Amino acid sequence: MATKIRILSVCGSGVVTSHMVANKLVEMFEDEGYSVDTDECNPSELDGYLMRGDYDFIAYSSPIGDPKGTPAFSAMGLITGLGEDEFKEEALGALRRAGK
Amino acid sequence: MVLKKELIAVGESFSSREEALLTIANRFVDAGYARGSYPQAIIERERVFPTGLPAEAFDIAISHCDSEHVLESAIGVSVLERPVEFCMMGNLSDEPLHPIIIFMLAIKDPKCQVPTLQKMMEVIQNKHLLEQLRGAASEEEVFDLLAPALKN
Repeated sequence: MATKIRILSVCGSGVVTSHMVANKLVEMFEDEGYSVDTDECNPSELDGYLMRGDYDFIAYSSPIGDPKGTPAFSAMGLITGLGEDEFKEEALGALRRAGK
Repeated sequence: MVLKKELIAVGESFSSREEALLTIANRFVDAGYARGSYPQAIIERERVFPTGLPAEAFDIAISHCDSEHVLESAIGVSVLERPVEFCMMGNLSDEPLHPIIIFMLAIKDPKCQVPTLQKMMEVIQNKHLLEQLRGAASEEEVFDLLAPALKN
């Protein structure tokens, strides 16, 4: 049974870029053997999402407020493809520290 | 296919980012893919949440806005004669980017367009394809290069 992880993808509109990033994240972390759930939102919705959901990490492509202890990483490298490996390393590190 | 031939232009020159966005966005309104509020929403969105991206090939932009201004999902492209200044997505740097290709996205329901958005991201990362698009001599050529890459 694959370990379940939940990722919150944040972009300016909560529509276009966050979905692009979310798709990429599902692909990336399913390849690592995880079962991946994603939600997408914009920065002003962040607090509400963090209150409702228990996310393993946040991927953001627009500046965000206080992630309240949830690990948060810039998704820019995922979009351009230049920095994908760095993102993956950071996120995997956070997952491992959380015992996942 | 959400890529629309009538929303493609090559060899365009603009004196500012606003002029570029307005011109491109107005094509969406004229062709019936977006509401009259779309061009202003695109300009506002770009100001608050910029979409310039330093792709490996060269700088590009993927301008878009909230779906309430969209009537039907569509993607347009403008290949610029000379770049205009855009800010970088994520506001990570004060240094402006100089996009040579502006992709404009009108997305009605992102859940339905997930495969297309995924393909769009592959296009951004495809150095060879972006170089080809930059060198395209006509709107038809851009369409013929890009349509297969965005096909689900």
